[in-house]
Amino acid sequence: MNGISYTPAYKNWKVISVTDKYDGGSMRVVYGNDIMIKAIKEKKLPFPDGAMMAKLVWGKQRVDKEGNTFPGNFQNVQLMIKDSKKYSSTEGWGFARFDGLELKPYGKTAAFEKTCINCHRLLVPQNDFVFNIPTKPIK
Amino acid sequence: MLKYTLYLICLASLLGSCQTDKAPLMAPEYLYDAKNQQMISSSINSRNGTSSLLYGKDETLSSKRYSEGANYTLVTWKQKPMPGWYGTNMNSAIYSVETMSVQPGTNHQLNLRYQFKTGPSFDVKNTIPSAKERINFILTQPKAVQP
Repeated sequence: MNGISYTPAYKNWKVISVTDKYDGGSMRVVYGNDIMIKAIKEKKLPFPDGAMMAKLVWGKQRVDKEGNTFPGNFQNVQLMIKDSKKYSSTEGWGFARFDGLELKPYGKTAAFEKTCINCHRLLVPQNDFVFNIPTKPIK
Repeated sequence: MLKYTLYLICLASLLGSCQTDKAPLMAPEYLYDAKNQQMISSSINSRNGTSSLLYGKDETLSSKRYSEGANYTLVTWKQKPMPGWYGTNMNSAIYSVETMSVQPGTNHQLNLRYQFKTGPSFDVKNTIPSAKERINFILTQPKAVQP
């Protein structure tokens, strides 16, 4: 799908974000590869070609009496890959998603990527179109 | 037709004004480097407004958590609303880093060594939890499926 295959290599990357999508009932962990981590540490935007992220999405288990909740069913893994030439029509980012434990590629046509970039373009253009990077308010 | 065009321009401007054009201030200090440990699981505590990740070494992931030589790191962050996406919280500054290691003791028993370290978002008003409670939390945490 879009020439992007699933890779389990993310397990050796570093986590850049832990998110709680309470409006939707899922929880996520986002990994970044070495190029992504280096760019974050150097505070450099736009992210360089070769930067990659993998976001894992789970449902949530019931909240326990201490207020804790843990990952439930595995839902999907989503990838973002930076290649400013190859993905020039989508701000340099290639998108892919793999659903369920079978890791079934999601999205049958290139329209899938347009759907992804449209939200990223609208809401986080100043972040080089990435939601899940560590940022703090500008004082 | 002109009226319709004007409405569209106004709407586009309104949407544009809602966005922050300024580049973000990156906070690499929010990242935690778990070195050669891998993520075992994640948890959220809605009461405390925190998110956590449990890390451990490869060989301890599928076996008993308390096998000799096992090392765990539990990193907790304070949550903040995600900029740009309503309905989501994400991690901000580190709240605490807890470590636990399983070491040989006397009479073939195992010793659990636990340590709690406060992070930048830990406030003086926050309570340091009991070691027993946290050791149990680490040992009983369900593993997150990562295909």
